[in-house]
Order: sequence, then structure tokens, then C-alpha cells
Amino acid sequence: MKKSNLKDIIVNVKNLDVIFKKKKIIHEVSFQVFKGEIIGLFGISGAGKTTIIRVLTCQIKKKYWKGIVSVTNLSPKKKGNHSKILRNVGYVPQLELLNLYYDLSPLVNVEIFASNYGQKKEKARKIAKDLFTTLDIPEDTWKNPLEKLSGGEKKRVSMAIGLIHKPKILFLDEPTTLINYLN
Amino acid sequence: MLQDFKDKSKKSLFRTFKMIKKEFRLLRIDPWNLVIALLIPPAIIMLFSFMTEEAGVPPPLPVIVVSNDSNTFINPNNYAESTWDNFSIPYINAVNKSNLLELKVFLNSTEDPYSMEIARQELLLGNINSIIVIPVEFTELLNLGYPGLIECIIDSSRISKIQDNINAVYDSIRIFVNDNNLTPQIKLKGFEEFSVPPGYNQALNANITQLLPLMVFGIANVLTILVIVKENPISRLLLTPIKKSEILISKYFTYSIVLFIQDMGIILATLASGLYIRGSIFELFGALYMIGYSGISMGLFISTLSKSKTEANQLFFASFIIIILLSGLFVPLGSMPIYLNLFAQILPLSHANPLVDSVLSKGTSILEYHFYILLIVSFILNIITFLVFYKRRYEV
Repeated sequence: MKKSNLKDIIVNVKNLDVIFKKKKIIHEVSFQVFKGEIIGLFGISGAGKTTIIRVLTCQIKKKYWKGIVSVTNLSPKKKGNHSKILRNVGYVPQLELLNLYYDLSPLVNVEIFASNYGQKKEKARKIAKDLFTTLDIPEDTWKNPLEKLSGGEKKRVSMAIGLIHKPKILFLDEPTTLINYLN
Repeated sequence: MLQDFKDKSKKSLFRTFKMIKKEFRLLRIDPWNLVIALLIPPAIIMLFSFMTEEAGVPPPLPVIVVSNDSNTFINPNNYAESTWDNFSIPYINAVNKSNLLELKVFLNSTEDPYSMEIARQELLLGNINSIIVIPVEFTELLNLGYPGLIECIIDSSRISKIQDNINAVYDSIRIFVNDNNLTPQIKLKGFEEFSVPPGYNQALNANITQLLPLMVFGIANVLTILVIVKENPISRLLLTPIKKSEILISKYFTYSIVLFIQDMGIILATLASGLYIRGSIFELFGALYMIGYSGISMGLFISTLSKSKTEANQLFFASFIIIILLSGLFVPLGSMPIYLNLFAQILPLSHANPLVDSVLSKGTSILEYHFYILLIVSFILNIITFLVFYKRRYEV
């Protein structure tokens, strides 16, 4: 692990507890992520990996969790920080929760999500094409409805959406599902 | 500070505009939904117009007349017997003359003692709507200068048809009195106000006040009941800087535009079908738009409240039936128990029919009680929808 000073901490989780209906889903989890670092969360099914990401991406209301959490030095506990945190964060969900517009094309999907970061159509399309090329999504599928793409291609479109605004932090939930080793 | 506010507003407007664009994209990929919303209402009006044009005046109501007039009448004053029936045949002629009645059979009980049983059997089988009975003393009373009495047994199984039957029998009495120079005790002279001028389709005008609100409200409702509940990517959109209010506003805006186009089509169809509009066409448009907007508000409310498409469909069906039942179409609001009447006052369709009727038949301005109530109901539904949407947990 590379040596970094405290200023480089981009995600800080200390004594995180998540409680739903009096049931403790997450118990005393602590970790730190430094700039440029890639870390993985490992655990059995239902261990709470996705729940931790949900706390970090402001999806779980503060009444359900306890502890010290900061993402890009901003606490998700404060509602006013949500918009700022989400601008800095990219999230690629699990395959069954991709939540994309399957009737629309990959390009239009990216365009819709990019517009929420203030990106205009031309800029969004340019970035999308670059990302699609990098992620090896065949060009002949870019304008087809997303539902006609394979599971792996859908996952890669989802990754492109997570990267469209060049986030400081990228959360990947089960990123390798359906992605073959060639990609 | 001001600059910051301006920047935020600009960004918010940009995102909302892009969301509206997305809504239209989603509408485009489901063209049948749009066809139903935009083309079906005008098509229904045209169909209704053709239907009522062919129908013309309503068909005469089938009746059987049973005469007991030639039976022996004993005068209670002097015990004199008489079997006069001078007015039976003239009354039958009057029934035949009436355009509202169709004489199926004339039965004379002196010739056939089972006349009433035969007539009742026909009533039971639904072959006739009513039995007109000329009582024993009919001719005698008229000859002695007393008011005549005609009995009428009506098929009352359908409450809405009772008055039609009574009106038809009255028509035969009117003809009978005129043709035989009899003097009724009170003569009624009617003057028509707000009637549909000749040359217009009267049947269309009579029925469209019920059809239009039902159709506009219903289609706007159906169009929007699934727009939130079926849009799974909302949860992912919320991981971007977009706000829940921007998502909802874009939906209201998009479907308001669809409603605008739909109402334009309806107005064109009503003009083509020869509907008589006493008020201004803009007033009719305004009334339809308000009714449609209440449908959108209801639809988006259902969509926000529901957790699945099935739940939304079930909720729509249940609410729509209640709204129709309590709209005053079947039972006038004033005849309902007070608690149901009060409840009906907050339902959109209860105000939609009087609103359209006031423009079509009376030509009055729409800016009155019913319009404002619809506006308030829609506004309250909008507020509740926003609150429910804000409270709703979306997770990816």
C-alpha cells in the first residue's frame, strides 16, 4: 500500500453501523481509501457490500446509519452535501440493478445521464463514443435499443454511464459479472 | 449570492428541459400509447356523432292498451248501470298518432277476461314497456264532466326509463284531449330555453356532456398511471445531481403538452361532428384542458403511490370506478347521503360534467365554482404526489 497523507483520503468510513427495522445490517465497519487507490470489498452474499456503497452514494437516509462517513471530505449525513458528493462519484450497479432505458440506444442513455451533469448533447456523445471504444462496445450496437445488447455489453454501457462525468471516485458493484476475460 | 442562485436555476432548467426531451423519447418508443391518447378521443367523438345522427329521434315505446271501459259501471249516486265506451277507440287513435308510443295490441277485457294477464306476461317478457289501462268508468266520467283517469303500469326495473314512459303516455293524452275537444283542468304552455337550434345533432349534444369529461379524464389518467412506477432508471438518475422535483415537473410538463394536442384534436372532432357549442370554443378547450389535467394529476398520483405496475393498474381501476359512480352520472349528487355527497365533491368527474355542460348548453364562462374546485383538487393531488415522491426510497 502506498504511503499517503491524510489530505489524500477520499473515502473515510469509521465505525459504520446500518440498522433497518432494528436489525443491524452493517456492524462497525471502518476503512479508508486514498486518491488513486483501488480497493475491493469482499464478503458472502448478504454481507452488506452494496449497503456500504449505498451509504457512500447518499442512497440511505441518515436515520438508518451511524458512524463517521465522508466522501471527498463531505459527509452524506448532510442533505446539502448530496448534490456535491454525487457530482464527484460514479456508480455502476449490479447487473440486475443496472436501471437503464432498455428501449433507447446506448448513446441516448449516456446522453440522458450526462445531461444531468450539465453536459450538452455533442459533448456527451463525443465522450460516450470514446468510452464505448475504450470499453470495447461494438460500434454497430451504439444506436440499437439497449435491450438487444448482450449482458456484458449492457454492463459496459452501464460503466460508461458511471464514467461520463469523469468522477473522482468510481464505485463498481460486482463489476466483472458477465464480462469475459477478453474484454 | 444572486449569481449563485441564477447559476443553480439555469442548471436546474437545463436538466428539466433534458428530462422533458427524455419523456418525449420514451413516448415515441411506445407509439400505440400515444395513438390511443391522441387519435382515439376524436375518433370516438366522430363515431358517436355518426351513431346519434343515424339514431335520430328515439324509437317509440311499445305498449299494450287494455280497456275496461265497456264493462258495467254502476253509478254510486243513483245505482244506474252503464256500459259506455265512446272514448276507448278515440284514445286508441291518439296512441297510434303519438310518435312516442307504439301500440302493440289493444285488448278489450269484456271480450277477453284475461286481457290483463296477457299484457302482464308481455311486460314480463320485455316485449312492451308499459300497459295503459282504460278503467271502467272512463267514458262515464268524461261524459259527466269529471276529470278522466288513465292507469299506466310501467316497467320500473330501469329507473332512468320511468320518466320516458310517463312522458310518452302523457303525449297520447295530450293528443286525445286535443282531438276530442276535451278541456283539461290545467293547460301547460312550454317555452324552450337553451335548446339546440335546428340543424344540429340534438342527440349528440344531449349525450356528449357525459362522454367528453369521462373520455378526457379517463385517457389522461390511463396515460400517466405507469409513467413513474415503470421507470426503473429513476433510481439511477437520482445518483446524479438531478432533483426529484425536476423529474416530476418534466413529467407534468410533457403530459400537459400531450393533453394540449389531444384537446386540439377533440375540439376539431367536435366541430367536424356538428356539435352545437353555445359558449366559446376557447372556453370548451379550457374546460377540457382542466378536466384532462385533473386526470394527469390523478394518474401521476397513482403512479407515485404504487410500488408495482399491477398495483398501479388495480388502484386505477378501483379509483376510476368510484369516481364514475360518485360523479352524478348515475345518481344525482343531491340524492346521495350527505357523507357521500361531500366525498363526491372532492372527486374530479363530479365537477367535470357541469363544467362542460355550462359551456355547451348555457354558454357561461368556465371560471366558476366547478373550474376552481377542479383546479384546487388537481393542485392538492400535485402536492401529495410531490410529498409521496420525496418520501419514496429509491435504491440502486
